[in-house]
Amino acid sequence: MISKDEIKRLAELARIKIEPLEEEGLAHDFENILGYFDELKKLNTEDILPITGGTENKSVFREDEEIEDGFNKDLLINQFPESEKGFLKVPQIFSNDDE
Amino acid sequence: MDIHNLTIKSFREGIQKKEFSSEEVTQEFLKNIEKNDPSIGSYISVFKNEAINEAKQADNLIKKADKTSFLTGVPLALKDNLVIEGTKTTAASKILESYNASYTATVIEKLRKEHAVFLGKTNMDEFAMGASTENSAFHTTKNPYDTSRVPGGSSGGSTAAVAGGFALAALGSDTGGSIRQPAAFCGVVGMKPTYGTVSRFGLIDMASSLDQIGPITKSVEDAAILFDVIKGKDPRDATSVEGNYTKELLNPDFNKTKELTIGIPKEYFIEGLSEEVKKGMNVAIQKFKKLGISFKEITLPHTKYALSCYYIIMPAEVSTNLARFDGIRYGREKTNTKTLRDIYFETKGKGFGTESKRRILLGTFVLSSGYHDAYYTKAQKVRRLITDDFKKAFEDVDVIFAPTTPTTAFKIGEKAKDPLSMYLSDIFTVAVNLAGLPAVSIPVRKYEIGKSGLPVGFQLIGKHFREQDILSLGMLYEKN
Repeated sequence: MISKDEIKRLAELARIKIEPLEEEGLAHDFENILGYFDELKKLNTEDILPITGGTENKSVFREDEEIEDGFNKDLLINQFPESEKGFLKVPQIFSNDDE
Repeated sequence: MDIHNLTIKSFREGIQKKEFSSEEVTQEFLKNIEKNDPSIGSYISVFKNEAINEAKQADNLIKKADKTSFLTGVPLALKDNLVIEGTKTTAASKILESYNASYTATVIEKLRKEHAVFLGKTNMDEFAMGASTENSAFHTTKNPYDTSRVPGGSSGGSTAAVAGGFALAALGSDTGGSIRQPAAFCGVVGMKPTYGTVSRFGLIDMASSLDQIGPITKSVEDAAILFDVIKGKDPRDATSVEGNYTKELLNPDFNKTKELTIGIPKEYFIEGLSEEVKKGMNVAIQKFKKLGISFKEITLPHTKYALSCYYIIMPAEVSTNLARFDGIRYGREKTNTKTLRDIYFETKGKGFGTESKRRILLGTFVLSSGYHDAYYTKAQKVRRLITDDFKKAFEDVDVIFAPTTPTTAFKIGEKAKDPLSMYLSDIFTVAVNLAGLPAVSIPVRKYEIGKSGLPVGFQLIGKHFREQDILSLGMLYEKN
């Protein structure tokens, strides 16, 4: 049902490097897990509205003012693998091949 | 003083009678951690010096006798997915191995206000994904009742710490049973509060519509004490709400408790329930009946769809929440590649464990074009049916009784290679998260390590914001 190519496609979408050995294992796991989900297909849900949570979601309003978020800016920046003058630094986005 | 028999309640009494100080108790716990935790592995990190300092501060406050509370000086353990500014928080993942948090979780701030003592951070399945702690990137925690068995998961480090005498109580998080299932396996009390009652600010997200932080304790009374402190609306968590709780949360009127009706859903007493658990459920039901509680058979017809529904919705949320660990703002794999794209692939490929990858890909699959409606939207519809089942049942009964787990603690390695069989461990706990309800797992009887068999736990499920009902029934149960 799920091929190794499909696993490759999903890994590409999720931006995760998957080793060839992992691909096989994952394809096998997906087969079992998606097979288990088949039970849901038997259930008629045509007129049922989907929900996003168990408790009733009500719109919440508050004053439009700054909230004390408690973030330590220096510690936050310290966690960046690369930073410059307090800014987050990222490597080039396009490789030379793309130019 | 015997730390193994100490509860938050008896600690408070001992402190007030000056039988011991917080520092003495904290030292005892630290000693026991040093001596005996290496064979259990509850902790990822222990805050030895900090804990002693916090205990000294608490003792000073106690001497002055001003504004101390139930939790002043109480040595607690925290699941390692709760952040504390300036300290390591790993969520048991290699990807966060060297992450130092830049802010502090709301629950931690609330506990600090009460001058609780933090002994350390406990082991868990990576990003809280698992039912055994075997998915931790660092080590597997063992069940203190039988070290060849798992403590359950994902809060297995916290439940093992409380069961093994390595903390007086602990915090865990529960997305599909991650507090209740390990509590049942380790013979302790574990509660998942109503969705939104406890702020998730500072809890590393797994599945945001399901996650809740909750107490893990040695008694139901302690669970009420800890819950009372950590609950409350928080402007930094937009999904948090202020429940309408009264003094009866801590001091129930047991005459009223006895008027509650408990429902038994026939769908939870099915094939696959082990003999030990079945026996345990009968013991608990008989005890409640003797206490004068009336029971009623109920039906939750969509129960058999709950696990599938959960294992679609949860990975979908996981795949979006975990996308942020891409090597840009948190840890990064050392790589020779230069492009941003390669950093994403390398960091996630090396940093995430197998179960995390499996769930990220599963979530990506159910959300991907062509499959979204068949899986994700379908599961959201089924989530409504499951929620409505509970609503209907609660028209007839006040509380629902169910086993927490189908079996007692399983062997280490038994399910590690077969993800579906591991997922089936959550079969009795996930529906509660889908419906956002509060539920507490309570040991059937008092268990003693080395002297009795493996613990069995039952669950009491309550209406939204009615923690009071399940906790008061639990207190009645444990007092008799």
